[in-house]
Amino acid sequence: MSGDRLALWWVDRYTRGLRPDTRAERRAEIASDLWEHRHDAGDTWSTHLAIAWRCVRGAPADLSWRRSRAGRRRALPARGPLLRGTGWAVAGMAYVFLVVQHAWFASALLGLDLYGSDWSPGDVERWSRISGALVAALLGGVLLLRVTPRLGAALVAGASLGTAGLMWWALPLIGPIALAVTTGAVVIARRRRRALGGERAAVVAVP
Amino acid sequence: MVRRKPGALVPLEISVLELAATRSEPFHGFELAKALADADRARGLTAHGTLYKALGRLAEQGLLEAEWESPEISVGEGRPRRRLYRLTGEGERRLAAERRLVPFAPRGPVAGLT
Repeated sequence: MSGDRLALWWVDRYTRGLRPDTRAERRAEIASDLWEHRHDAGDTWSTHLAIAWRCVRGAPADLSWRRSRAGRRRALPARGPLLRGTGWAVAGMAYVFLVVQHAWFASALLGLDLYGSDWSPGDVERWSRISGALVAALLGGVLLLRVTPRLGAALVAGASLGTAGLMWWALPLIGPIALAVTTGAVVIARRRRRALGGERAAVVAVP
Repeated sequence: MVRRKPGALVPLEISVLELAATRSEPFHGFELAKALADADRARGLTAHGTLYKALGRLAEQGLLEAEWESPEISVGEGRPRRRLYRLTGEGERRLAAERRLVPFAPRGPVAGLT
């Protein structure tokens, strides 16, 4: 994601629920700033990094500005969707991270060598098999969430938490990622089970 | 989080007023961020949220006047419209009062906006 896209995505997030003219003004002002920044510093990766960093550093002030704009009565109901949306985005990105990571490790099963020369052949084979199983569990689990929510969530949660256990040396990074994916899978499974229960009840009521 | 007194200015807002006082022409947000970064090389460009929250507060207090430039100008130059700010008379009075309150603060143009 480029720095511009990140900044504009963030504007859309934190202005959600505000008056349309307030949203449009803030978006236009940030879009102008981004253009001026790129025009001044050049459209390079370092400029995009600087833009992303300006966006991230300003996030607390953005949220404070939002509160002042929304007013207490309007801000409270709007905060729920904002947090929920952010939560789903985090869980989604965490899931993609785990899938990509395991797909990379499992690449040797397809005859690719993406490991580098500092891995012993035994380790490559072992990690490829484990990662192959975990990526299959992650992808299969998501597919099963719709039909058998409990099994689907168990597969996704097992693969995520299993990754955290296997990569215990990177627990500060992998731990939150695994928790985010597990939480997302459990929430989806619970909603799906409720929906399936409703569908069954409807079938019974209307034979 | 420490709550600020209503109407009190934070250092960034005072710096914005200081820089605005050096300008006869209106200025836009990125121009201001760049001038602030030039004045204090250790700081870097002010974050979007921090900068525009400060500008919004100053405009709400009547210390800066904000207006969108004419669309013809931005279309002619092939860029998005700028929101332009300029110091008001109230802003000048407030800046003078802040200078009296903090006599050892840097005076005058820290770095001119270009």
